[in-house]
Amino acid sequence: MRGRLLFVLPLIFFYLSITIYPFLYMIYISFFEYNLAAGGVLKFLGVENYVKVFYDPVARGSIFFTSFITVMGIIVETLLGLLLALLVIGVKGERVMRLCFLIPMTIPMAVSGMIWRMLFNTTFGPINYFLSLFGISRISWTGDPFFAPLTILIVDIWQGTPFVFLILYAGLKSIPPVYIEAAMVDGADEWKLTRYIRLPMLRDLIMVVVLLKSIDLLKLFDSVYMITGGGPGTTTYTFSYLIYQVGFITGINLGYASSLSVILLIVIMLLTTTLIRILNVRRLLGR
Amino acid sequence: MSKKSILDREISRRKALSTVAKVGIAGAVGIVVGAVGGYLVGSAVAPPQTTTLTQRVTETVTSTVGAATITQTVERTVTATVTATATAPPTAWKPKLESAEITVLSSPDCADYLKHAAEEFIKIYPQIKVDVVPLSWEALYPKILSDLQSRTGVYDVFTIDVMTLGSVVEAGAANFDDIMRKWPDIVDPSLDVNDFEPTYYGYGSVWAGKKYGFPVYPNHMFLYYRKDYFGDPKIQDQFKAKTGKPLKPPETWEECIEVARFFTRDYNKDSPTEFGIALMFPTTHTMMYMVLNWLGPFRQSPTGLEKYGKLDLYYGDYCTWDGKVWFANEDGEKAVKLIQELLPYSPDPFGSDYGETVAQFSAGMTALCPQWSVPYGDFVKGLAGGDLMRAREIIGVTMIPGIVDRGQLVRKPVSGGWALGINGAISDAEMRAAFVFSEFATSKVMDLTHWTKFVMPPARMSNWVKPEAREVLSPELFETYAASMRSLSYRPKIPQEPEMERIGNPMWQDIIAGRKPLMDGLRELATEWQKLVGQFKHPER
Amino acid sequence: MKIAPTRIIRYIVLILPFLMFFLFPVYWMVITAIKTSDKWFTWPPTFIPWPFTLDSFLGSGEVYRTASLREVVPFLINSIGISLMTSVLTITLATFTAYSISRFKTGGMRFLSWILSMRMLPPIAVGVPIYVIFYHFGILNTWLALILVYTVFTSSFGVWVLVSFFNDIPRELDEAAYIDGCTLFQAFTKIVLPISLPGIVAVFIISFTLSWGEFLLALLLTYDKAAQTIPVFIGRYITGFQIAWGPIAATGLVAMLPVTILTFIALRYLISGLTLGAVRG
Repeated sequence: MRGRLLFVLPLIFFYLSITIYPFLYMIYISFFEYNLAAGGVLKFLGVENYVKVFYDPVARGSIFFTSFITVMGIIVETLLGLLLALLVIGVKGERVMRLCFLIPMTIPMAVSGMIWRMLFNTTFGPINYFLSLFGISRISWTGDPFFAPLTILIVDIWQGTPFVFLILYAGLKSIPPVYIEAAMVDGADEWKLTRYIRLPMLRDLIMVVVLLKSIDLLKLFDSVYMITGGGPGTTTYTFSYLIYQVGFITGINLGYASSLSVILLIVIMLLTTTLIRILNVRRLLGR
Repeated sequence: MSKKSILDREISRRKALSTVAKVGIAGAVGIVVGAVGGYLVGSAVAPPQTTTLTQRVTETVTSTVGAATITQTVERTVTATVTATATAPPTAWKPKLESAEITVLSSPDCADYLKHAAEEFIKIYPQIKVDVVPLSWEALYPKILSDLQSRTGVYDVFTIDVMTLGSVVEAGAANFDDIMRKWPDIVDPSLDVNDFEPTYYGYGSVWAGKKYGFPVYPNHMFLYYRKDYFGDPKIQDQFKAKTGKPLKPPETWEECIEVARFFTRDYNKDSPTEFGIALMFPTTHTMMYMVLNWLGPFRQSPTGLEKYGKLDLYYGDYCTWDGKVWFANEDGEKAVKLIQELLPYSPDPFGSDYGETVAQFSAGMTALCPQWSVPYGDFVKGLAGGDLMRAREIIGVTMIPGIVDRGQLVRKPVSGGWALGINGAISDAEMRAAFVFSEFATSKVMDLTHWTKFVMPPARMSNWVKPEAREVLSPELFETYAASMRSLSYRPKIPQEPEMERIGNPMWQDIIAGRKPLMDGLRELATEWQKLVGQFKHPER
Repeated sequence: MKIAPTRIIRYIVLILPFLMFFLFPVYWMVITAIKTSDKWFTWPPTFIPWPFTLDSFLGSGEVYRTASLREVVPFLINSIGISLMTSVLTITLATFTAYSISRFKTGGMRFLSWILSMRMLPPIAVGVPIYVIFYHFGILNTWLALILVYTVFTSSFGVWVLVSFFNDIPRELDEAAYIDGCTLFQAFTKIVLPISLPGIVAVFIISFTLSWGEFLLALLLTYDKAAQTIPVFIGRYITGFQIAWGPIAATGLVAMLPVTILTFIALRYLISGLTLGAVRG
């Protein structure tokens, strides 16, 4: 029936016009030096923009930092989200706690970046105040190359764990009670229940969550812009922030910015393919 | 699953959803109504404030009688009355302007004043709509560059930070000489371009001999200090006991280090303040100008002028006369070491920027604070509860310290300030309106207003000699300002400057924080910068 | 299932710190919005906002003129308008597409995967070329620019959620409609759509939330209050200069409340959609 094709045509057309042309254009530009400030002159460079990534220390640093954030973020957020989901089930006031844990997820990142910037303020911020109660002297959160990456990590944990919590909590809740009851009849305690029933049933979900989170973390930009501005030095440059700095601050080096964007896209596409394969999209179609 | 149960399920789902949706929508509507209501309520205009200040002033008056010169000391009382709303200049001159809408892109420190100027302007020219858009420096600069480059003409007027002059000219800022030649009818007879302070005007508004802007206000940095502590006899005695020298506002960076240590509680239990000095070395454009307070004196000392040549206003203090980046040597090392010795006496040098240091000094956390002129208003609020007279006893102002070379004290506060520029890619009607607005906002009357009401120093020499200018805020600020105006350090204004900043700001921090060995870091930075500076073709040689 | 009292205590001892961790920043934002300006930065920090004031909301008192909340109104209008229109466009595109995929497996796995991958695009990567192209078309700093770009992401999400949703609606309904003489289009609009209203509402809310909170593309593609959204408004005051924390916190509250409420409404469907139906709400 032609109808089914007609139904999908608008979306296809829309996607093609918004995405294909820009992609091709970007790949094209990445092989040139494109300087808007000097009147948009194009100078062919071959693969120089790509090779540059390897010997540009700022780019290398941002790859390192982005990987750090992604790996640490996934580990902490998944574990924490799992822990909270397990803890909260069956407790009094579960409903209220559920809502509370979810609030950070609903706050736009620009707003949360602003709040945390206030909290991390070195001389007047509440966080340093709490630490001082334990005798720890003021930490320069945005000025110290050791702590600045931690600020980004902490903010993302704050903003991202609720999502993990939400998914895993829902997953836990949807385990058919019969399994739990049967296990209890067999004499299992909480720990055994968790280890042998709950966790295995969550395994697929955990993988979904890990992959989704990793894609989100790779794109991280908002909190860097709001809190550290990439500093101190260039220690908190995420890859997205690097592209922003190179491409948009001076308009001088759009070619390099394009090559960086292409690289980021490739990495994310690889992850996405893995995600889709794991989720077994056929399942969606097969029902 | 049977059809019926699905439908039932869907219907009950729908019912529940609709109630919740209704609540949600009501909530959202409530918020919008609240916001709009608040806007309307807040739109009620506050009544203008009037301040009357009286002070006894001692003046030295010199007069010549025949061949003899007599100097007398005269005491008089000066009363200055300042009203919050300035009166618009007399409407003797009023060119015919078509109705137009102009957008003014403004830095945060000029925004309040420009909004005020816009309101006054609209009273005279109701057919012109003026919209002032404030943007942080980081957001403003790329925005205006891309607007000029793409010739989109979104912003008609924009504030030019002095060292960005080259890049905005190259990107397409409008030439004022051309405008004045094309439309003589919009040139204000009282424009008096020679009234603008010449060095500042030449630095921030003139490129290759052509005019591209009118100065809004010249600015440079000062060292603010707690006059009440410096004047306290007990504290003076303590200082004398500890160091053997009298306590006074420091003139050299070495003295500053001593004073700052004295006022840091970790090094002196009796210090009235927790830290000595509020420093800011973040990896934002602040870094680009802060470093010059230390490098400038080395560059422009008698020895420096010998070694590096005269100062060229295009290349600035980071370069020699013929455009070589000079600081990868022992002078540069000395300068950075002076900075490094000061760091322990500051609350958070690498994590603080403009706002943070102003908050630190206003909260009484430090005894010293190098800053621009506009924060004086914040200091008055924070330290003296808004009382201008009381503030004069608490907040002292002196020149940024320097070094001693060949027996001479060399102090070079870094200069800054803003001019108003016009977009070259806008329509004739918009350009005419934009030009008249620029003249208005920098006119003699408005120039004085932005000093008395917004702590933005006057750009016009005629306003500098007016008694109100001196009396209204702080005579000490005024005099320090006048004294240091002749002795400043400058950032480069070449078009490559933004890229120099993008690369340089993080690198400077790495150097100062000791994350790189000092000489290596300086050499690396100098090499990178030299590549950029080398691309610049000097227009006057 | 019996829960031992010690367990409750243990849970609360463990849960409470995390509760504080997640809620304290929100509390801080609320009190900063109602503090008087001298209390924004104090040592020790002021945890109880007393006295409190509405200055930050009304732009009165000593608050900097250019940072007052009333400045936010044009941005609020932009955010609401753009988010609404994005959501409407999303629903239109996504429902038709998802229905076709659900019923007829149109395009097979490849097509669906392509759609799903759109959600994963890093905004900055498309930022560079989109900026140049939009500038050539003269649509920079317009609602249209943001709506077009946002719809790419949100409709990917929408198709995702709705395919799973439509899968749950039994084909018998469609077939009954055909028997009654409906065309494909009629079967879709008259029978299936009304029943899937909850899912559609969920997609609407998800799209709204995503558009509302988006920051990077709004920052790149817009200039001034003709099209800038609330996140950009907040972002422009994050500068080294003077940070008027009260009004920013007030703006943050205004920016946060609508989407918080909406998200809680759509929670169930969010879960279902986000996990490709692996979990039912």
